Amino acid sequence: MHVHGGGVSRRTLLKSIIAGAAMGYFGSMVFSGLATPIRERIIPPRTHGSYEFGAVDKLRITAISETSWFVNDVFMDDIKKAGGLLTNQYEIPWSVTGVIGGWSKENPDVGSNEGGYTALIEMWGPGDKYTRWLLDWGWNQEWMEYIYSQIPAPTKDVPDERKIKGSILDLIKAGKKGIDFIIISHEHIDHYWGMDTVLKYYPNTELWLPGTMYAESRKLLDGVPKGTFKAPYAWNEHPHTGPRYWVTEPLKPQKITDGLAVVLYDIPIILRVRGEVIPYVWVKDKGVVTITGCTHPGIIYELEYAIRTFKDVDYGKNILGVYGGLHISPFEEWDPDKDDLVLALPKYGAEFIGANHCTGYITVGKMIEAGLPVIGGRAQLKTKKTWYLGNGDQFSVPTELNEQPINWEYYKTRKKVLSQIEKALPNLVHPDDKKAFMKWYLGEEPVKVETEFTVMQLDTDEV
Amino acid sequence: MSHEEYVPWLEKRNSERLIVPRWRQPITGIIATASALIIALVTWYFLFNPQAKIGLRLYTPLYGYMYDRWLLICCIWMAYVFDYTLLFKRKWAETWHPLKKGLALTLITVGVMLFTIYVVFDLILGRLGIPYFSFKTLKEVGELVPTGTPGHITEFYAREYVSLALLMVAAIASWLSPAIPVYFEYWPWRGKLKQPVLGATILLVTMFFTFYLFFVLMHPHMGILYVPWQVFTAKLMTPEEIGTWWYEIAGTLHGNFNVAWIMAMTCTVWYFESIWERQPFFTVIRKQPWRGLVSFIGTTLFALGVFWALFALFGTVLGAPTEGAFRRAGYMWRYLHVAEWFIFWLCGALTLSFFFDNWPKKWSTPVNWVVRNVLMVLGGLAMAWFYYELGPKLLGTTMGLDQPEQYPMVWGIWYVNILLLMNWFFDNWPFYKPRYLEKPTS
Repeated sequence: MHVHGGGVSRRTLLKSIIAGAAMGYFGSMVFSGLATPIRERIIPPRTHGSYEFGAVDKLRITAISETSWFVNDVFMDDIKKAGGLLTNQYEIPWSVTGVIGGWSKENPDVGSNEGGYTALIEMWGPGDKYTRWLLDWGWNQEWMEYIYSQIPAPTKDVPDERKIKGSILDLIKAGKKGIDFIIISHEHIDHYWGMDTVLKYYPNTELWLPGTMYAESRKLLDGVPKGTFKAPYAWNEHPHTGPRYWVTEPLKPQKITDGLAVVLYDIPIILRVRGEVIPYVWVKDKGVVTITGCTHPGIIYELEYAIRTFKDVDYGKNILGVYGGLHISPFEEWDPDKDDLVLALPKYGAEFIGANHCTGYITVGKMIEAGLPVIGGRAQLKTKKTWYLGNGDQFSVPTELNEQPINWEYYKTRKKVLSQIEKALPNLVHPDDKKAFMKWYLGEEPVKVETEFTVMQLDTDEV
Repeated sequence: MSHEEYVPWLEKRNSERLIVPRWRQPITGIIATASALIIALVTWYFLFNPQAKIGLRLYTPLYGYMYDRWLLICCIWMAYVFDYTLLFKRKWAETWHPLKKGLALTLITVGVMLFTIYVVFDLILGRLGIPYFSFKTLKEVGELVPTGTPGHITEFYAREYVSLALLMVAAIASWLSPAIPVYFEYWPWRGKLKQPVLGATILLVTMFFTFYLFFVLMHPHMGILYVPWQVFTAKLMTPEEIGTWWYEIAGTLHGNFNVAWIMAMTCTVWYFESIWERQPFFTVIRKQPWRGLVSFIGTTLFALGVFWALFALFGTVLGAPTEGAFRRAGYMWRYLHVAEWFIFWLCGALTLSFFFDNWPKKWSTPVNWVVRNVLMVLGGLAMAWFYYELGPKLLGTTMGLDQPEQYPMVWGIWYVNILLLMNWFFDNWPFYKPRYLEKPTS
């Protein structure tokens, strides 16, 4: 039995209130005063890596399809009805007909809500080597066939023996001559389920996949008839017969070819998915580019990984750019930690941001506002805005490789970036990090900042 | 009624041993714990499991998380704040069969929860005042901006945002509401007010401070959810400064920083009340309000100390957190995960207290205290293992450590809710025998 207090005089009450306020004030001072020093002192500083995986001389990325779904409200309504973001993707009855703003062969503005994500990557070097690969293979099989057929196969600077006139679909049909291999970033609907469109023309393609994939997804590769799963489009009538390389060891870079390494991030992802493989491409004398499906680990985590793992990468040093979905506000949602990201991203000094797909319009808008070097697009083939690289758009290093004009409109705002960096500076965690950052920021080692647009030799005239 | 005469039901029940284990310990405790786990799993399946074949799939995640937290606070209101007089009678708590009583109290508590969410918040506060408290209003406001344009909010996220705001209120309330009964032993109203007026007074006072803190700790977070930032209604920007006030301290704009340390405080209240048996502060200080103040400050410092120690531990295990990163690399996740460990430990603490009669009691108070804390930590580890290893099969979660849309504390709090219902409302029946039915009490 506890002893209870007696009657309370006004004086006691007043004293208590004053004492409580004083102690609360003291507590909050201790809390806020010590928090930052504790954070800074206890946690270990970043380390720098030494891993090298070669380099390519030139790089060209063609966004084949970044429109994984056409109407976000419909997509989110499907998810809401199914039970939210953690529901198994194979159990969701996605909207496949009658969606206004959707797509069908008969009507490009009404039909299925589903599209898909895929990109074509070409790499030159070292020497005469030319490598051409696909990242992911989309979702809605009909859309994928359509979009592959709509986008011309790039030919500029392509070696004659690999040159194929026609569309991306013709590249796929050409087998090994057209596509060297395919990297599957992760098993999400919009990146993975469209395999039938590719496999029916090129069943023995070489595949690189995350070793963390769930059983249903593995099964799809071997062929699954329509109607097996509740979700539409989760079928494949053309079993894969080629080599499969499972990336199984998390956070260990695996070199595929010179200048291209993949890293598995073993992470849980919405719609009951596990793991994403992130390709890193190193462009000679320029640095590393992340080419991603969805960047579910987070772009900053991936860039930090590059700093800690690859040789000679640091803030503003050898971080050339990012391409692909960054999974920040894919569903038109927002959260303060996404602003954390936009505020922190400038300090990495990426020369270009070719963000699209699940990056989300809100994020790209904020990136442009923050002065990040966003590459715009042409808003064609159902990509709705010019704010980023859309369906059929390209970005190349060097930019002369591009077969179409680059939309530099949003890149111009990059001059604001340095002031943003200054704002982000106090939030770097460890004193050593701050020192490293200041070295870059002040133009000392490791990189001398010569102009606002440095490191990469972009078409500054166009800028 | 003088203050000496007023003894809350739970205090009376426990001090007079009015419920006793049906079998010897630890058999009763093991059976009761296993049963609680099974009940939690079965109810989780039908209410929350996102992969359930039959069920509501409320774990979207925030929509279900919100109910989870509000059930917790409503249980606290019923048992601690109102001492079983919220649409109920104290006499019934002392005389009804536990099954009948438990069912009635559960129904009333769920009713109070739904009334609070859908009438107090949604219908009144949300529709007349602040859109982020109303599912309907926020959905309508979100639709004012066309889809595909920054600023549009889908129906799904309108529901998630409202759930977030509501659960943040509940998080603060679950810290403050038990503070007066537990730390201050109902001071300064004990013996002066009768229930349910006493409960209503405590409710009003604690909810006043809850809302006050909500606007300081959480409202700026809500202001960031929209495009553009709601700078005229939430302090987010001045010419000199950008961000929420805690940005410099926490390294993130995210309100989960505050949710996390509040959860640390909240859990510590219940460590203090359960396995600590209000020690050591209640032995040292015997007179209110000093006893309450010292206990409050002491547990606060303990909670913050452990909070930062755990945060540092994560830093040494996972590497330095990174500004702007998501998941395990980011500040927001680290803070929240610290809080999740507090919840795992709470599962251990309440299990030990409710079903194992706060074993051990045979040694000196300090030794008992230390042993119980060790057991609490071990219980927390067991719950963490259960969640991460068996969760994908039993809870419908996705394998892995740091899914941003998965909150281990939702499961942890749900298990705690089941413990509270079993112990506070059902008197641990049928695992414990209600002696108060045999021996009438006044």
